Amino acid sequence: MGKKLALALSILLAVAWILPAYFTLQTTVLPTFASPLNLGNASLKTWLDMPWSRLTKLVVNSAVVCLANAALSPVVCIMAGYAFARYDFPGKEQLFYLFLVALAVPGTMLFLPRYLIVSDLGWTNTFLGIVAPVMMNPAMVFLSRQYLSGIDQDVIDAARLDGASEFRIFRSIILPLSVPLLVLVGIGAFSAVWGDFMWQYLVARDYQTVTVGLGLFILSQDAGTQFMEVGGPLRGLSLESMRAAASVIQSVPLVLVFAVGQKWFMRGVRL
Amino acid sequence: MLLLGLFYVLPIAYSLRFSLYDVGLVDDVWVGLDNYRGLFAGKEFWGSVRVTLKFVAAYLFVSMFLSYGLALVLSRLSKRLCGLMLTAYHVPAIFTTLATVTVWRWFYRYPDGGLNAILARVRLPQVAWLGSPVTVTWAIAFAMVGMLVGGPALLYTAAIGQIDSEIIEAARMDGANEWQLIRHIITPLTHRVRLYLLLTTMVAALLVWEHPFFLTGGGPLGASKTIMLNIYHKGFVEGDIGVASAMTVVMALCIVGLAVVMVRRLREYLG
Repeated sequence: MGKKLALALSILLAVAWILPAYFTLQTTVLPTFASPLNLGNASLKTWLDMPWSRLTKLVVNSAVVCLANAALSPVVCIMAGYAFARYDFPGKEQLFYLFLVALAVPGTMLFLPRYLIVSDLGWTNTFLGIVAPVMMNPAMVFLSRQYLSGIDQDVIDAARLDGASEFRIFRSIILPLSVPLLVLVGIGAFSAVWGDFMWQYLVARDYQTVTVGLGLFILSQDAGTQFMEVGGPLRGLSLESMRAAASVIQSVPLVLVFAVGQKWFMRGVRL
Repeated sequence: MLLLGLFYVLPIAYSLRFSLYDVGLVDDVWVGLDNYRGLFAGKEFWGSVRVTLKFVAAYLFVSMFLSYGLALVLSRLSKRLCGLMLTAYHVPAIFTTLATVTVWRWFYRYPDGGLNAILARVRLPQVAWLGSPVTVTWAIAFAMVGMLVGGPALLYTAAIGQIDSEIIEAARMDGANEWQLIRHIITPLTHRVRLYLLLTTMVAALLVWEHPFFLTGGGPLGASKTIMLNIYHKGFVEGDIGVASAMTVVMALCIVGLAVVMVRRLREYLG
């Protein structure tokens, strides 16, 4: 297959793939849905006139939970991964395969019992309730283990001979060498929570903890109009346009994170 | 490890316990295996299994064939272009389900949505894509294809990129044509990724929830009600924690079974 054909094919597909996103963007500058090329009466009205106070609160909430997860999840996952990659302890092999099983039983599936636990702990409608269950991610522990197994054992042994403590080894050798991994896990943790809907839908109860994803859900229903009206007059904006604008707002961080993350992904993954 | 215990092990224990009780507001009544018996005897559960299996088939098709084909095409392009294309293919995955669901709802709308407008132009009858039990699952699955292609394609491309170019050159020298190259060299050398994807896609497909939830709410007549959606309905809408837990347990067991088989295979490759 020629290079040109490959190029043409991939461009064609790329266009089709971008289309839904394009539609969403287009709707933010038009009063309602229209055909893709119809940009005749495009304006920034939606962006300028929207009751922003409502959306700002959602963005702040999301930022809090996501940054918390992005900061804590790498620490937890990499430490666990390191233990699997570097230490020999009794039953390690079995534990790791148990872990792979946990990797297979995804957290999302356990939403019902998790919800019961979080509500027993009194964590419903708190940021803690949103973040704690998703912090430990078996998939990320697995990636960490694969990555950390690739670090030269001789370096570690040399440090150990020189009398470095285990913590010192972890901090001065492992961490600097696993920056791509840290970034990768952090980015994954950030976007997983930012893009999540289901868990937050169950845990968050009111405006104090509602995140962007949930706001978008509210907007996707007819009640969306009332939700936005609390923040200020709508000045004739259609629910469709506001919804699309909220979609874009939700997507921007994910796009940015992906743009930055792709480079790190190639460096952080060792399969 | 504590987190792992709290949000992986304990939930399973919770599910097991509740699945054996008729959970009430004040007291839980021991009912033994009645929840399971009711589950397996009822049509509803098997209906949701069937719906979920359709999603498994669709997911596997995408991750095994579509994404791999795409990665093969992309591997012909220069590094820069390849990265650009991968970014484009990732767009639907970056935009969350909710962000694009409005577009899809409009696309499938009966009788004047985007798809039906195209059908009308070529004089074919209009179809209520989301309103008919026959088409609904496939229509939803089709809406998900875009979101599913990017990730696997990225992994495949990374794996193809890691193949020693000398091997490919040598094969070319020996007169291997493109097809033989793909069949006998590239495909076997990317098996590791394929195995990993096989497991993760199957599990992901078992967890389908958001798209049917947003697009149809599981309807019409439960024709798009996946197992996850079924658990949600039973547990949170009908308040039948016992039956919902039983379903969680059954699901977890299936996934663990699947994982054990797959991990055995994966283990051979990881050495």
